[in-house]
Amino acid sequence: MTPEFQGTHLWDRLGWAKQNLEPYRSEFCIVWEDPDNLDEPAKVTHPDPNWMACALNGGILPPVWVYWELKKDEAKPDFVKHTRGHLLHNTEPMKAMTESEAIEYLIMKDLPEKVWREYEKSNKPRLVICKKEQLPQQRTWRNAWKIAA
Amino acid sequence: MSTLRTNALEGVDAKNSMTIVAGAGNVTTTNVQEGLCKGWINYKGTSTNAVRDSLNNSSVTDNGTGDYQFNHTNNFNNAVYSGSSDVAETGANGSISWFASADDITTSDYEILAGLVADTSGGITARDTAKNDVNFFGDLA
Repeated sequence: MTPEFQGTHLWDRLGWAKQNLEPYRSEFCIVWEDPDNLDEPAKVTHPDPNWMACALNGGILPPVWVYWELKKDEAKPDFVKHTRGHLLHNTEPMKAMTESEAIEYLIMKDLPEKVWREYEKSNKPRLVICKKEQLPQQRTWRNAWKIAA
Repeated sequence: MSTLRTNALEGVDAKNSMTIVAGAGNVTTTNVQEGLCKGWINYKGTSTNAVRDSLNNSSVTDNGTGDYQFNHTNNFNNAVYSGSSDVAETGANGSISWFASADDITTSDYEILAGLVADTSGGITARDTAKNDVNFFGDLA
């Protein structure tokens, strides 16, 4: 039974999750390219199994807009330190997500907005969710990885 | 010697911050909250990458050869927190030494470049590393 965590520091929730939830190893990953740096290799984001357990369980993670707000604050030229960290701890936590919902949440949390915002309108795929087994098994040419058009 | 048994300790002035007074004349103090590791990860950067175990990490982005970005679940309060990393490749021979340098740090992620330094030439080459142990210390948001 997950405790009522709204108002509890997110760090303490993660400690509870670490002790009480089984890590969930997703078979999916996110392959993406930075539209402003097309010469760079494709990047691959792997969900953390402990984080996935929190997402699937529900009641632990804050809504993704909280991270957007903190990112906005950090982008200000006079940023020194966060003054709205309380949003992480006091906002009502997310309910249990499905695996696909968790991956979508993670895309909007950990990938730059320019990658996922209106990604379907670009003339070349810049974001693909795929199974890890679909990635090249050898990394010899890792810096030449691109998303196929 | 007596034994203190309890499930929780709480600061009086600040709930999440306590100071332990120790040493001769009670002059040495340790702030428990400041000294805690606020995140760690054991990560495999070779083959199909994998997080072996972690705390306070939401995902890892493989940016390219030896270039790994660790994304935090609980942001740090500012971008001047400390990260330390230890990287190596399984079965590496003794003629090379490994390095990991912090590349880009924000309150929400920490990026390292891993690679090796050759004894003979002194050149530095980015390399994927099977063993990446990274710890973070600092103030959380």
